[in-house]
Amino acid sequence: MPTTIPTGDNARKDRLIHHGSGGELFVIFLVNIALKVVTLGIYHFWAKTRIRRYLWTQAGFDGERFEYTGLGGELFFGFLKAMGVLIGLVLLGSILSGVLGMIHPALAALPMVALYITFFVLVGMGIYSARRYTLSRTRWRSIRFAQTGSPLTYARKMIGYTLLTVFTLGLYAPFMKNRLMGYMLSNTYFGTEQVTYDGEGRDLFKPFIIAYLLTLPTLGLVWLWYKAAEWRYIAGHCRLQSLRFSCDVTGGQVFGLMFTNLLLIAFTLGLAFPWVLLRTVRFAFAHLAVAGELDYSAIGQSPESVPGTGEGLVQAFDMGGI
Amino acid sequence: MFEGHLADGVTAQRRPVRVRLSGQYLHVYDPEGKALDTWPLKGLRLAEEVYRGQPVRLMHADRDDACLTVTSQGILEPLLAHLPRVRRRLFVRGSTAGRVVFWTLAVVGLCAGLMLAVPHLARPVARAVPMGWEQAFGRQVVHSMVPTRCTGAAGQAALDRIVGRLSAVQDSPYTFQVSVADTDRVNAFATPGGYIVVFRGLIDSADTPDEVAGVLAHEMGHVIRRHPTQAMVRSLGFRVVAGAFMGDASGLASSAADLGRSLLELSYSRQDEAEADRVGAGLLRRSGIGTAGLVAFFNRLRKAHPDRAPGALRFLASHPGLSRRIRALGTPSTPSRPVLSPGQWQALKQICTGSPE
Repeated sequence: MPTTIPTGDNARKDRLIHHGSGGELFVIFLVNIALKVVTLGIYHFWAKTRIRRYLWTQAGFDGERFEYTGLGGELFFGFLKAMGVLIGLVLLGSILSGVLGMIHPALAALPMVALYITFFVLVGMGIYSARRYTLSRTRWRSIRFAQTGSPLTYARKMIGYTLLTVFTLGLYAPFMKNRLMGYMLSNTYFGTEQVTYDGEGRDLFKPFIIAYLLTLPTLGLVWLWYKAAEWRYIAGHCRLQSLRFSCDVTGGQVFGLMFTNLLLIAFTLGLAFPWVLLRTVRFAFAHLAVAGELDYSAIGQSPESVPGTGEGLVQAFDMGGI
Repeated sequence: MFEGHLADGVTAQRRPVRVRLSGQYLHVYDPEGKALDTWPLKGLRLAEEVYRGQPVRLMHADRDDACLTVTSQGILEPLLAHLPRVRRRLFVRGSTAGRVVFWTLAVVGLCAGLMLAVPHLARPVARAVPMGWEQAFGRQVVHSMVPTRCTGAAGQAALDRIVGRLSAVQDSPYTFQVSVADTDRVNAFATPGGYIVVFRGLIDSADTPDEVAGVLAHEMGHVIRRHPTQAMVRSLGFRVVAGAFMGDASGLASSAADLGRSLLELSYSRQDEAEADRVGAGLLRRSGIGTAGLVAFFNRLRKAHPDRAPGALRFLASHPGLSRRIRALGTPSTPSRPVLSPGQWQALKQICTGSPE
């Protein structure tokens, strides 16, 4: 199997640690709810930032914790900007549609079709820009992460590959995943140090075909095993300077995690969400081994400019998670 | 002296340091005791909230990306005296369990309080809604909820005649506009702004025009007391409070919140029904139509759907027990002069047989 990666001489799984406490995270959620009620929901952006800051601060690598420097106001203004763009586009489309409709009724649909295509482009751009924002607000050893590359290029690739996937009845999916992942990862920086990714879609094609064929008999559960294979593969093909990564998660373990998470959520009416979130992070950390040592003196502060507002489009389309 | 390390933000290196606090300054030394830097307390801030067992990370307004981490305990107390705003970012005292209990009670209390306050706020807020908005909204509701309206001209005239007789004896600012929906269900509803929709099933099932007049009077009672607008405001208020949970909580919790919301809304709609009965009965008596029609209608409904839900479940029904409502209407009185002539009644019965809109 191409998905098994040699873990290297000094690969250790205890270098990434999460110190978070479910109780403290629960309190953060509660305070957020209270403030959202009082502010008629506007606190949402600050609430999200508060949760991120807790999750980032409590995550450590090699004895140094991560830092999240984003601000709620940045998310709020990003959201306002994106809403402005969306409303402007819809207005423009409706006016154009009305004007063209007066010339010929069939023409009235054209601006609306253009609007739909624009929305797809915006979704792609939004996903890419959101990651750029989050990375630019993430620091470790006082060095910022960054993402270069163009949101428009990413959106173009996403739409092109999606069409290819549709035309090939889904068979292009592993290639699409690898190309999009590759574009994101190899445009990712820790300070001046660039991440490299050398994964190829064809290496995942065999497990993909197996999952594809077994979808019906396993009621779709086989895709958990495929996901595990995909994560192992992606982790194994990433590098940051002399750091190498490997992941040993199995489909059965992913199934166990998802199943227990589901039970926890169902039996507590969702109140266990903070604990579910933390155990999922810990699960990921526990299965990610890191080998090699960074030459810290060779890594300088990120020269990339920092975006002023964040994640507007993702929030406008309600795609944002934590 | 406190132990820690300094990352200067220029490279990813960090060096072990010792930190001493004196006066308005933090003095930073290397392990050999050589002075490295001096950070004024003015401009100093915590990088994040500090929980128990967590190293304290400090940033400074004039030190760009540099981050000073203090690993040994005890730096917070002397810093607090100089930086009072730091206090609310500290979670080192008190237990997690204590915070969980305190905030659970606080949030549950806040939400329960708001949920109970919303209905009381609905009345004054509804009064402040301009009538133009109510009418525009009501028109929208009628348009979206009633796909096919019956347009028999003679039938509509008969309907307007009843409404005219009822509205002559009241002085609310609303103009009542009644239309018939081509639907089998035995029902009627009122929207904000004075629009009333009667379903064809109700007219089909009625034995006399007095029954239709009774139902119309009841719906007019809703409009006069602004129930539809209040219900709208209430629902919006509940939605805002419940909505605050949605972002954070899972689907299950939010549907639990939704269930609570609809139970609350139901209990208020029961009060509204009783009030509409009272106001409608007043209209019926003053216009000389009498309450016998409404009572006959309720009696027929009761035969079709007996009050099955016993005791505890009864509060779930949006219309209070029909027997109780009939009792509340008092002695039925009959029309002083006929509500409609036989010809007009026939026209109303056939309002939907023409070409529907």
